[in-house]
Amino acid sequence: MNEEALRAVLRDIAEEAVPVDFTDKAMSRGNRRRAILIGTGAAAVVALALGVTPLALAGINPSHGPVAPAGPGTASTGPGPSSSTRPAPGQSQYGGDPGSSYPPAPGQSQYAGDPGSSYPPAPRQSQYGGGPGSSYPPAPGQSQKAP
Amino acid sequence: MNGEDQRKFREFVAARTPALMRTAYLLAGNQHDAEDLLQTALTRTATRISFIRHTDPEAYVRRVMYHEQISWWRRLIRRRESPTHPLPDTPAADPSTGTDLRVAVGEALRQLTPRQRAVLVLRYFEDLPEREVAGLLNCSVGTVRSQTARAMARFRAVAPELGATARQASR
Repeated sequence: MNEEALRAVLRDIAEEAVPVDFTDKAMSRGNRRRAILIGTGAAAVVALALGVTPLALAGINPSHGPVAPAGPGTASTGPGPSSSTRPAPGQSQYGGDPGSSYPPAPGQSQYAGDPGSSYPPAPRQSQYGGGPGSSYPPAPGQSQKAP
Repeated sequence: MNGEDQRKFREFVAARTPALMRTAYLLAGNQHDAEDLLQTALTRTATRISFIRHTDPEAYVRRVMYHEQISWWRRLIRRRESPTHPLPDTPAADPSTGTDLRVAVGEALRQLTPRQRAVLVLRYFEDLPEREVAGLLNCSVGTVRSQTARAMARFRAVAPELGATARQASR
């Protein structure tokens, strides 16, 4: 007995198979399988887009950090200038006189009634304009007493 | 799948189902599993018929069948109870030599692993050379040879009357 005999035996065994028509079943199952594949693929793409988009936006603008829902009263967390440490332009840091600048302009007193002020006044200006905390000596030729 | 693809698929299935069923029967070992195997392969082919319309669909079906046969996932699904002792109602031997030999070969085929069975079917039923078998099963030629040798050794153990065939085939 040789390989040809083995082939012949295999052919005999294979002849025992009964052919069955699978056309309709295969086509219906194929269509269903394709629909499932397409639906699964679309869902995967949508899920991927939803997951990747916030990360991509955070990567484009990293100074804002991760996107957080902005609720009422939420302050910015970025390293921007703080209003408590540096005055805004046009705002004085000396006392309660808004608009005054440092040093004071000529003809302007920064001691006009401002308690606790101690900066020397400009010439020909009275430092005793009624401020209770004024202590700087008057310039020569100026009276220390109020008229 | 458009109308033209459907028509071609129907013609292909009608024309090639008997041949494909014979291969599936040899691979699976019984009619029920052969039908399941062929239907799975045809379903996958129908899913991709628009992509493989310019190639040979039969080659695609056969490739799917062989890969499904040796797929561990499919084996896991098909796992069922197997007898640990010889069944008492073994079929009576036919006085004719051919039938005896066929029963012995069928029994030996059922005891092979799916990969060994696939290699044997490809080598001795489809008459494919070792290189094509290796390409179809995504393995090396050496693996095909070793699987063939092991299958033949199993043949010798199960059916001693096939010893002469096995020795000649494994050379």
